[in-house]
Amino acid sequence: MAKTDPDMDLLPGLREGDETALARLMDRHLKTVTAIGYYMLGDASLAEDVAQTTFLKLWQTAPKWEAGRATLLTWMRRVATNDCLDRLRKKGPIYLDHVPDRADDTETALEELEKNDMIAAVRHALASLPDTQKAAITLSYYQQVSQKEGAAILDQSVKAYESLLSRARKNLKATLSLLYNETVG
Amino acid sequence: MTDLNNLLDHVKAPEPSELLKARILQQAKAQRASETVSKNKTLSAANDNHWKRWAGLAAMAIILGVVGLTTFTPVQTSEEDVWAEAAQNMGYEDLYAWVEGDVVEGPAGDETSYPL
Repeated sequence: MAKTDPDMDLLPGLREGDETALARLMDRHLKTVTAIGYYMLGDASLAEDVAQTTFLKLWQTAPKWEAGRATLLTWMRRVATNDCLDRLRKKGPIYLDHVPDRADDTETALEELEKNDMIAAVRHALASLPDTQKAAITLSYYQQVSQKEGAAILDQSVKAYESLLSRARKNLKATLSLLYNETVG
Repeated sequence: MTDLNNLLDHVKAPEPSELLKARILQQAKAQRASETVSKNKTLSAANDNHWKRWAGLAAMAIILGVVGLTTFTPVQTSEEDVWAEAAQNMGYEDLYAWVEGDVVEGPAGDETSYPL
């Protein structure tokens, strides 16, 4: 049985070119879609470009949308993921090192430094993953999608997707264990 | 042992900027407007043959050509007339007449004919 699309109420408006419907869809999912770009590309500005491309593609496609095949959000996740994979293939890893603002009063300078180091280490470990493993971690962990949905988004079998995810986690643990000089489980 | 999930939690995607939504809506509006303009363009009829437009012009050109040919009457001029006209144009009218044997007034009223 096809999964019920929680955004089905917006589809008539999107089909008719009602910008209010698009605005409401963005209220619901703009953060989610932008986050895919951020975790895969490591840059907030590029992530916004990906989100813009995704929503505009939906806007163009809406008049021909066939209900019942996939939810709007799954479709947008797929478009955003593929856009990120294309950008990574063309330009290679695009991670930028952000220097966070100075610590607030609730943390000591050392704790802030350790926290920043940790964030940098995790970002580095994510960036060092192969592109499809990066996508699997983004979808499964950061987007909390099911194995089935993740496999559909990456156009793989569930088994292949599970294997991909397993390798991604193994690689992350290995990289972070080296960086922290302690075992990461 | 540090848990991987705990480490992954430290990386958090920022909130999208406030301008992003406005930017997307603006682009969407522009796309719709351009699509509407394309649809409103006058389309030629399915059976319209563009050659029909040119057929009228071609017919007019043929008619004008025929009219021109039938009304055109080339002037029958003798070689002498041609030379005379040319001489007149060049200002050699008198010289020409002299060459041909006509009387030409020479200096001091000398009327002499110089037959060929």
